[in-house]
Amino acid sequence: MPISVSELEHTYLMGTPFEHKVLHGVNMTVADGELLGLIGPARAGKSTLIQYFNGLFVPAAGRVLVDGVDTRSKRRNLKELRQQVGLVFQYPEHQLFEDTVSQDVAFGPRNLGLSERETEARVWSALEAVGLDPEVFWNRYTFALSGGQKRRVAIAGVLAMQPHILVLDEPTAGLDPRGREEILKIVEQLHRQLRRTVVLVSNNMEDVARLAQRVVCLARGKIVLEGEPRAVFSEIGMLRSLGLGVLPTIEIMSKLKARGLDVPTDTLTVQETVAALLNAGIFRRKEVADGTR
Amino acid sequence: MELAKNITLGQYLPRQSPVHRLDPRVKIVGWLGLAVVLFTTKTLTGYVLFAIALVAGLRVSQIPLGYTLRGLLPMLPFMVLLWIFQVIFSGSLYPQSTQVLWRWHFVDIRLEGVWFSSLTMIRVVLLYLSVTWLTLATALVALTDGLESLLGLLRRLKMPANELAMIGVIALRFVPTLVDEQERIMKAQIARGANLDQGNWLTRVKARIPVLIPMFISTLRRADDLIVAMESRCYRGGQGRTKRRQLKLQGGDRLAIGLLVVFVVVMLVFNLCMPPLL
Repeated sequence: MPISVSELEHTYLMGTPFEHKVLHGVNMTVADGELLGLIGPARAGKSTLIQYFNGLFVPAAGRVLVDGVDTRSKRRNLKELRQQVGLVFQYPEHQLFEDTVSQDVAFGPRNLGLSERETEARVWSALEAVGLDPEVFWNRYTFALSGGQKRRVAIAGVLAMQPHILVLDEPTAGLDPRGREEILKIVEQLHRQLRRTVVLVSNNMEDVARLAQRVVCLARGKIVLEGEPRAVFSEIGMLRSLGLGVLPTIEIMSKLKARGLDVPTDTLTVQETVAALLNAGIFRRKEVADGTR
Repeated sequence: MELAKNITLGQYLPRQSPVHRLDPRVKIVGWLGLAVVLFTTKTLTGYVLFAIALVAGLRVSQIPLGYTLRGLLPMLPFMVLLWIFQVIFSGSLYPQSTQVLWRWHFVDIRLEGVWFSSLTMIRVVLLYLSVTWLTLATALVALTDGLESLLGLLRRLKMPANELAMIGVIALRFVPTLVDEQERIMKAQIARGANLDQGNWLTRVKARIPVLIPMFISTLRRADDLIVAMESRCYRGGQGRTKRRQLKLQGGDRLAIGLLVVFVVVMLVFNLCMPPLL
């Protein structure tokens, strides 16, 4: 189920003295089955853009096709669209409202009008998918959970709708390193094992570099970079001028290169970087081993 | 969906207008004067005169009338409901001689009832517009300073003037913040398939629970954060606090006071002399 966005514009608070344009003709696609990273500085319009994916906004200017059907067209049942495209907002734990974990996760499936049995089955598998043992967490009080657990419950709440496409807005924001790691693993598994199309919106370049197959960069309401992670993250000058971070691995390699060493400058992970340095013959294996001990 | 579009209460619209530059105390007292005028007005002519003055005032403040009116949209259903109730049940308040339009059991609709209910709604709209005018043209900091200075009289009576001003201003300040928050939560629940405005009123009320509970929690959390922020800046109310910006009446303020006094006096005399007419 692909998404295709063309010439999309969005004006915030249209018709008031506070109106301002946040999207200036965005063109992009989300291909079926891919894990797309959507990056961009704060206030670039990322959170606005993704609300077009599930019809929370319908375009006043431009077009959004989900599975080939315009989100504005009458054939498009918006409720069905919201089931097909699951949207996890920033700080999704703020949306929890039921007493117990299972009740809260069941909110989505119940809204779809599913039977209690089907709902329970979905809640069970959604909790498993986010790494919360259903047997332990089923009757736990939502408000007694830790921040990271609450967030996983909230993600499970969207997963229980069984969407084809999952859009996550800054899912690791405000979490400690362990919580962040857990969320990233969940996202990876959703894509690899459950074969969901995933759009990961993030300001954290390392998260995106690690997971994304393709990266789109939005800035000032326009797509400014698009392509393979390697290509996008190698645009150091551009990323810096946008106020985005540069991957430490790429930064090191480009500095080494500037000093005259013949090394590749597009290594995304630490392992890859170490391997490239070894290949370049700069260190002998033993030195590396000593250095990392 | 954009809730903030229709929220004008508590917003500030920065402009370089003479009204924006006025001393906040003049604006607050002036607004009180306008409210007194409104509550003594009983005739359509009076309301029309008031409306003309208000529109002129908005003009001078460079605030678009359409935007101020937008703020009424969310309240429209309540106002219509109020109007209907007043029309239905106010009949017995008027002398028996007036024209009866429709009578059925307890329903007693009279021409006068319709007329005065409509005037009441006009009064509510004008009152709303005038308070919106005040907040749109006065920055929050100025509003606090003004309120605090005006409430200074209360301090002599050992009333906490600074705290009272602070409470009012915090309430106003949080209107847009909570509107944004509510929009986010509503969207998150809609994304989970919630129907927020379908079905009969009971299902609608029930459908609001997934929005209301997170709103309560987040409001309490914000209050908590605010308390910590104020405590850590050693907030102790107005005790021993001095102001960098001293409020002082300027030429423009005197002119505004003059205009307001003339307007209020003329309108009061007009209102007291005019009999309530159909």
